[in-house]
Amino acid sequence: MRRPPLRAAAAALTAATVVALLGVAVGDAPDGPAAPVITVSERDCGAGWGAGSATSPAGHLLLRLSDTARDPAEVYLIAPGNGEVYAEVLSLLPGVDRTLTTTLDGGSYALRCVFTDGTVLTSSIRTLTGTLNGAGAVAGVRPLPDLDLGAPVAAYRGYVTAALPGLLTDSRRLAGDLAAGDLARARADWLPAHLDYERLGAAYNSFGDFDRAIDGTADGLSGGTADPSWTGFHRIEYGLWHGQGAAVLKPLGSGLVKDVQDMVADFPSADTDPGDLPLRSHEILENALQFQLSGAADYGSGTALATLQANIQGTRAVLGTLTALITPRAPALLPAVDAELSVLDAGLSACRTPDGGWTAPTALPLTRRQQLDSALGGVLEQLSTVPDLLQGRPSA
Amino acid sequence: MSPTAEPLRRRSFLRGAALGTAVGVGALGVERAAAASSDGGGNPAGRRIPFEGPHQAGITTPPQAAVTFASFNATAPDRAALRELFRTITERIRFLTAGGAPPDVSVASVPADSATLGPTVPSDGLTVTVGVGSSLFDARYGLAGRGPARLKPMPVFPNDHLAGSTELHGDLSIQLCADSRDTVMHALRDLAKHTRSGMQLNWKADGFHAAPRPTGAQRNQLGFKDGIANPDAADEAVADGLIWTRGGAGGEPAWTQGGSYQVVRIIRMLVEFWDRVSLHEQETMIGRRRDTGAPLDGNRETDIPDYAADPQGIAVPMTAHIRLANPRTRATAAQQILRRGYNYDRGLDGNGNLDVGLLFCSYQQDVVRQFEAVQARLADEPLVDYVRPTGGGYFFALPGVRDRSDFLGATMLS
Repeated sequence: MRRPPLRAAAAALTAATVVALLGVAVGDAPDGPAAPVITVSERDCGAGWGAGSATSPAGHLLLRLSDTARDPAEVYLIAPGNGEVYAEVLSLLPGVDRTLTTTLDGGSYALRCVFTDGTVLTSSIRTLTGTLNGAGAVAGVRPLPDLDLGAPVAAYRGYVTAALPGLLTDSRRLAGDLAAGDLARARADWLPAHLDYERLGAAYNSFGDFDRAIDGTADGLSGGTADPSWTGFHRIEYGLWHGQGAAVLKPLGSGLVKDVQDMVADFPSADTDPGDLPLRSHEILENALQFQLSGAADYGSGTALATLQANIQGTRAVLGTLTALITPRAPALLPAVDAELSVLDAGLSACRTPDGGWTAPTALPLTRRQQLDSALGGVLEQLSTVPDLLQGRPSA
Repeated sequence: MSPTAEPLRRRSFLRGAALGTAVGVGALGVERAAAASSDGGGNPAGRRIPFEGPHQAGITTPPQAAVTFASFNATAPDRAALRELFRTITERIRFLTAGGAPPDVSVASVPADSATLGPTVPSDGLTVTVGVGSSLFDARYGLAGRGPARLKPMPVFPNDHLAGSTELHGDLSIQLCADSRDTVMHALRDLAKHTRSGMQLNWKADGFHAAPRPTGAQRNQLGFKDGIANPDAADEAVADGLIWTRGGAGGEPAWTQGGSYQVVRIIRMLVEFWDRVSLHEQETMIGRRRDTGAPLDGNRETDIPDYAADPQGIAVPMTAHIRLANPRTRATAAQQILRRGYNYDRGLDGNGNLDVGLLFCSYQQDVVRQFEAVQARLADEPLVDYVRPTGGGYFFALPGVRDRSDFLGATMLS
């Protein structure tokens, strides 16, 4: 789920880097003229890329890239006018052959090589003639400098920081109920506290060890639901809805409060990887599909759909921080996602019982369940583009 | 630019290309896609079965090696979205059955294809046959009253075991057949990915077509050759009389022209019990020799049983499966169905016995005149103790897609 940026492996070498582009073929015929070999060096990213082929037609393009240098590089195919990226080979490594294919409309293009030592080179410009009239031509994507994720990260951290006191308060209330032996009240107070956490937009252990301690399931524990190391909301849920007594649950309540306190104390100094935010925008709901809508994380309360609603809020919060980056790159995406999230949200609300309670997903009528599956699956297909759209493309 | 402005399914799928070559983009792309060969011999792309035509492929097409019968419910919110769903299904089938390189996508997109068949999608004899169930013609999409005249939920027949079944009915039926299992899987996955907001899977059943052992029709899990007496679907007159529905005739709406009623039944075979039955009893229940497939009054699989000469059922018992199913009389000639069944194998029951059997599939012009008449004669036949129908449904396979501007269900939705 994580894509470490190439720069993390940055080397300070400034040795000559040669990228050979073997067999460039641009054109309409599979048996067209043999493509020229294009070479890229540290002084010239794409010698021969533009020369001698000024009249290449628009269409499908295949590049075979081979990096013969010691330095890894990112190679982008860009429109030099606006810098938009049409194709890319990330982490082109010395000695490893790579292929790049794309379909380009008429226009001017260049290669840009970004080396791990910070060197950025751009090829000469090559012009493709004609037009595909939109048929199959890929769209360019405005590159994203890494620093652009700084403001969203700050905004997201602000969102979490503002929400943490509520989580702590509600967790204390739950722990207080357990300490007082009032299990009926605890069952009522469990859900608000759990939803406080689920709204944070955690996914795939984004809060590290705290996530397992606070919101872990019994999966992966050798003792299953009886495993003594199991703690947190779901452990308490399991006890509250499986007839366990206050004596068993009281220490789990105080443990939860302590873990939340530790997380609150840790958060200001914990790193949020900027690259995580675009991933979160689809992973929160991918997580919800696997664990909530499936019923897999329902340990008795039957509130998985409420959790899913909280996950929608978390997703909206993450997307909200990314709006300024997404909208110029894909103007129609967020309105479409917003509409689909609203349909999903309304579908979930419609599953509530007349007294305001929740129905376990496994107990839903098939038609209702399929509407939810369809709405969630549909919006996830849309959201799957966000990580690639906001992939850091520094210097592209 | 907005690669993400539209759902994935709206992207163009025009380009077909062979791996490792540069191929242009254009309207002709698909026509010269991966499927030049029609025999599959030595061509990694396999054979290509044309998608367009007056009828859908996969009905009179000789059975390919692998099948998935999938049932979906429509979740599209309205009529316009339903139409979009059928357009998307059509676009995907057009690409998948042609094969070729998936379209290039922008750097902001996940890959266009799962690559489970490699970077270039082989056509591999794939057919995708789309049907509709009677439930689609309720109030949701304004289709009430527009359904095929004989389309209804599959009834519970006297020897059925459908209580608690999760494999019944559906708004849509999609039959995927190909020369390889992985091609069928790939196609279903692709269809589901592109239609998540329009339909959802209800159930699916996977089957395989057995090779001739040693010759002739495939054997079912009872060890008997099955499908010997099928009508000759390659004979146009036979197909027009038995398989294709006639729009405007017999109360059928005009749009049904060229479609066909599809019956799918999941019929478990209690093979442990069957294997404890004497060969003589097996053969008298079926009416054929197990080794050759010949009718009990004949010598070869292709011999036609002469029931007129055997009015007492001395040679072929009156209750034998083949005699009940097809009495071969003038009166029952119009009741013949085109069987296109597959074997299935999918795990165990609670007793540790194998859950194997037949994915019965038949196509017919009129489900009442044909399938139900046959089924009524078969009620309580001796064989019922050894088989257990557990699911399935009635569907209507839509008319074919005539050209590039046409789509499945166009006339139904117009």
